[in-house]
Amino acid sequence: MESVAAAAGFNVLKGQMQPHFLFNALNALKELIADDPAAARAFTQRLADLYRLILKVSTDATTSLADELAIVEHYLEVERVRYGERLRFSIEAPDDLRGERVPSLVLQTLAENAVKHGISKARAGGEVRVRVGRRAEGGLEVEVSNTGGPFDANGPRAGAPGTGLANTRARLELMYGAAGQLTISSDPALGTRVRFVVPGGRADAA
Amino acid sequence: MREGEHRILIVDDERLGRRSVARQVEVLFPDAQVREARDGLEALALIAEFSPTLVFLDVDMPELSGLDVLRQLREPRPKVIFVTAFQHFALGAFEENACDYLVKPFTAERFALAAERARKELENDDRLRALEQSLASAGSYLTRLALRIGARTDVVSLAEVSCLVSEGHYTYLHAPGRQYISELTLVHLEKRLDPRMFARAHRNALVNLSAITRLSQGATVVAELKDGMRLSVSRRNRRDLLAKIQGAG
Repeated sequence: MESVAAAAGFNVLKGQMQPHFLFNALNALKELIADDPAAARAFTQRLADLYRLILKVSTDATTSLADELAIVEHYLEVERVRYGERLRFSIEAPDDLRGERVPSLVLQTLAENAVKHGISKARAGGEVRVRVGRRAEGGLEVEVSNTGGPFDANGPRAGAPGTGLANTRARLELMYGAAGQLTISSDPALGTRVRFVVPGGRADAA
Repeated sequence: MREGEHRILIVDDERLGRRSVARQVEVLFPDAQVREARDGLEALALIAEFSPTLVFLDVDMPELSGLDVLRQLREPRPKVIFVTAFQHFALGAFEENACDYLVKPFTAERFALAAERARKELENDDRLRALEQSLASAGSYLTRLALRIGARTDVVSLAEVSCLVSEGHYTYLHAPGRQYISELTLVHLEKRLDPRMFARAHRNALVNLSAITRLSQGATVVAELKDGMRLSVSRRNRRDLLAKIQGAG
């Protein structure tokens, strides 16, 4: 189990946060400094909080849902500085689930994927929704969906799940077996929905 | 081009991206008219309506990328400077005739360099257009041509030129004892020359009719010229050439 966790942690570090993200964030920051110094300070703080949390959770295979959702929120807020009103998002999770363990940085990867496919490729932008709920049979159901651009807007290359998603799928299967299967449903009119299950509610018990 | 005649379009799907270009444009082109487009489709519409002379074009945009926009431009094309966060687009940008490309984040100095390149290209275009206009308004054919040879400029009388042969990007003018090179294309020169004086010998050569001393008709027709030059006359130009010689004679 230890080596699996270590391998997953390594993959997290290796696969997470596209270098372009930091580049784009720095470009935005450079402009904010001249444009709106107060916003620039808040943005810098947020970027630091985001990276501090990523550093904190990336050494472990799992993290608390609270940390994971904080990362997702910081990430989406940073992107919103770039995309403006083109990016709308909501995060829904019952408070009593915040202490549950979830695989670290998987939600973040899915949110990044949703922004990449749903927002950046759509002129009008769209909405990213993150929802976490408890399943009747135990465990958590996690869903990240995006409206706006359909998943396969620009042919098979853009439509194919990227390496980020492929790595995530492999990681979940490694951690949870068949129960951790990642499912993707895509509809040109409705956008894309990515779902997975954290069995038993406590991943480290799985 | 006078300062006030610059029309500049800034295209970027991100507001802060547009701001960073606009800020530099305000400094370097204080009198220019400036418009902004939020994506590729808006850019194409504004290019048609506003006819900018210079476009700052973001590459990575939804639905219609900067490269897509560039491919759809019609003549007269504005000068284009790509603005991108991704270095690897550079090659394609130049192949598509962009002036320059800026990688975000760029310094004010680097931006000024790109702006200067665009400014120079626009000025050169203006000069060429002025030259073409003055030639056209003169309404007469070229009789003399000023040709630079190193630091010197020779004025060549076209009556003395026996033939003009294009090779690569240049046109070679043959005159007795001399050969000159012009940067004007053969097609361009042909429009300015008196068609009663010059005729096509083949795809890459114009011949001065009065320089022809003999037409030898074998398997192919060869025109022998006063200065010893020999030019083959292609099948499709043969009839026209002979008619002109008889007309001139």
